Amino acid sequence: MKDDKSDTGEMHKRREKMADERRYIIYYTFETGEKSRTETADEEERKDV
Amino acid sequence: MKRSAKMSELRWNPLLGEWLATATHRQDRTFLPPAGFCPLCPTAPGGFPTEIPEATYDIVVFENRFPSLSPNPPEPAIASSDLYPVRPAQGECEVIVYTPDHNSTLANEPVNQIYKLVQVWTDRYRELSKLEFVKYVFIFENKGEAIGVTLNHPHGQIYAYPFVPPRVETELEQSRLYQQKTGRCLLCDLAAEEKRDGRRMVAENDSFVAYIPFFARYPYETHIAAKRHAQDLTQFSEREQKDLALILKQILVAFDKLFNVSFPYMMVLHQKPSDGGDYDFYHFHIEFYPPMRSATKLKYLAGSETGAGMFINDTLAEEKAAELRGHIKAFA
Repeated sequence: MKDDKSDTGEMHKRREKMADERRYIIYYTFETGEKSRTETADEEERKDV
Repeated sequence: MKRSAKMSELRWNPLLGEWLATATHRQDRTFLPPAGFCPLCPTAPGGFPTEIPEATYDIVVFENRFPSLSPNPPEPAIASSDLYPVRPAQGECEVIVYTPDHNSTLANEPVNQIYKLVQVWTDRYRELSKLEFVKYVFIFENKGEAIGVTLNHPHGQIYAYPFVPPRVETELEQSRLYQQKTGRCLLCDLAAEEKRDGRRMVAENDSFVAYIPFFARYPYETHIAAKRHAQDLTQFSEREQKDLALILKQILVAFDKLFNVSFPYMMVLHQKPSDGGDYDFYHFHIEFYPPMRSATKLKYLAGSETGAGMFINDTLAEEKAAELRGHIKAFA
């Protein structure tokens, strides 16, 4: 089985303090994230099933 | 007793032998805010400052503003005793925002976005498990106002408990006893039996099976189990992560198609504890507890369920699985 992350790209994360200076927030980004987010469920669904 | 604006503590229930959290500050948490004031949306330029200052994001995790558990909890407001032990509510409560799209749901997100979420879940499980005070990382989602959600923006949560919670403890004990008796994994045998029988199967791919179990408590209670014997998310290959995303997508879309509504549910991930113990006998799985029993009726937890702990399911798992199976579609 081939394992690759070509569907999402490599995961990156950036941790920052939130505005209240007390809590943290972590932004997770993926190298090809924008492309995958624009896909719709309908586009993914196979027409033959 | 001290009074505090943020009273939060763990109180021991000697009758049931389990902890509960008091978190009085949660009474004031944001409740179904009007459009334009969702705290989980990206902050628009010049607009209402949400929890997330970035104009867009992929997936975001942050500490809950109204946590039941926190890394540096206040001292309990009431004294501990032999009969009533009390301890600080130490732990971590995180919010995972699935998408910037306020009107989406996990079911409506593409498989790739769910695959990203699986990767984020895995990272959070790994990171939170490293915290000395964390003994169990519990990933879950409450979806829909029927469940009692206070924010409709698609999101899940993580509670990192300072103990193994009782429902998981029961599963662990049953799995431990089964392995002692048979030498086998209970979840492996359950998944194999559901596949052999077939009547309660809902979906399957190379790495996971989904079924309504023989012992379902809710009409559409669905379990997703790993085919390979694994105890937590960190043990899955990339292929298995993708397969998990795929089967999640299939189940979520089928739920929505049952009654052509955005189907409410509780989704919980059951993994091994993070207390350093040996849990090789345990097995990763996901459980869904949807409250709908028909297009117009909800399953309520009433006297028998709440007071006696015995669930009464008004339906047959075999019939409900056939219904759900009829809505399973393939996704690329």
